[in-house]
Amino acid sequence: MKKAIIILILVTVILTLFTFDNSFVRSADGGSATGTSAVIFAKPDYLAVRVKLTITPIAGSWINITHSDGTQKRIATSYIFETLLPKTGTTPAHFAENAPGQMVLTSYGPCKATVVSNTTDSYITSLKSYSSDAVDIYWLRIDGNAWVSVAYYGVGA
Amino acid sequence: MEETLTANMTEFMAVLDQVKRYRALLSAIPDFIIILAISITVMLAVDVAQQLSIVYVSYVNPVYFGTTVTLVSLTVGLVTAVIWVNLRIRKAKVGQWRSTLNEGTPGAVKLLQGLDWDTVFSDIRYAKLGFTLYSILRTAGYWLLTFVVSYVAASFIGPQIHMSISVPVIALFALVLVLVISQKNIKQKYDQIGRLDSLLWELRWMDNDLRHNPFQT
Repeated sequence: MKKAIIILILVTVILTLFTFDNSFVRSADGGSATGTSAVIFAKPDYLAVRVKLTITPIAGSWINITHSDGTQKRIATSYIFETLLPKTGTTPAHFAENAPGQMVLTSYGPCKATVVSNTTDSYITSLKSYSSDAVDIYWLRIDGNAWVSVAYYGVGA
Repeated sequence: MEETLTANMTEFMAVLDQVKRYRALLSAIPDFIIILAISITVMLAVDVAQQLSIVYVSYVNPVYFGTTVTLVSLTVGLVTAVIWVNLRIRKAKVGQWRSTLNEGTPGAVKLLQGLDWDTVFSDIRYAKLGFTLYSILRTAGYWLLTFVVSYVAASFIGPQIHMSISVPVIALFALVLVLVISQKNIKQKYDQIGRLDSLLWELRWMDNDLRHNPFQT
């Protein structure tokens, strides 16, 4: 009987770990940035997500990167940057929200990234003031032509 | 006639010893499951820790435990479980009848009369169950290990051949591989179960005979 209880506990632990192990969200998006571009990453507030951005200037040209906090960087070679977007909300039963950059986030695809090329200052200003109860965004501005890759890894814990 | 009885009884008691070993096997199965479950728990916990480190430590430089811990955990768990079961089987008390049988025919008759047939039948049934369960669990354990090894191999080979090998394909490959490798073993086990079935029927027949024509000493 004792062994049966131990097995039951272990099976419960295994199932819990297996579910948790598979609850991690990981993927990658990207695109090319031309002119003035906005790279936008959107996630539900119930996820903590680490985002890794790789920006490679096309043909070795110099480009300017402006982070959402205002810091700037001028690069001519590949630049890798990562940041943690913390969890700010609780997990809902069902999730489906729109995000800037015409992205649709759902329970099955909760994180998305996009590159909006040839955009305007007013669009970037709108990103600065973006606010949502359910969606957190991270963005940066690129002036110049570059390839952008956004990889992300998130979890609801 | 007397020699035949002693010889048959020796053979019969040896088979019953084997049944005792399989009975011990059945009682060792929970231990087998516990040991294997612990190694799977460690394996999953390491993977969860690895993924958490990517999110909370660094994507570029995570705290990397590697696949070694996963493989070692599973391999050590499986080997320990199999060794533990074999130890339990070896510990089964067998051969205690030899001294009685050395007395010759009286000893053989004494042994035969001392047998509790209901217990013998029950032991054979449990032995069959233990044997089948252990075979399934051991094959499942080897399959899991082969799957993890194949998965790790595929994650290295896949990018080289520009192909993404899906998890169900790896699982199927691992299953086929394990079944092919253990084909002989599975056949042996199947035959052994068949022999236990035959033994059960023979003993029932013998029991029926003894009830109608008891031994006279």
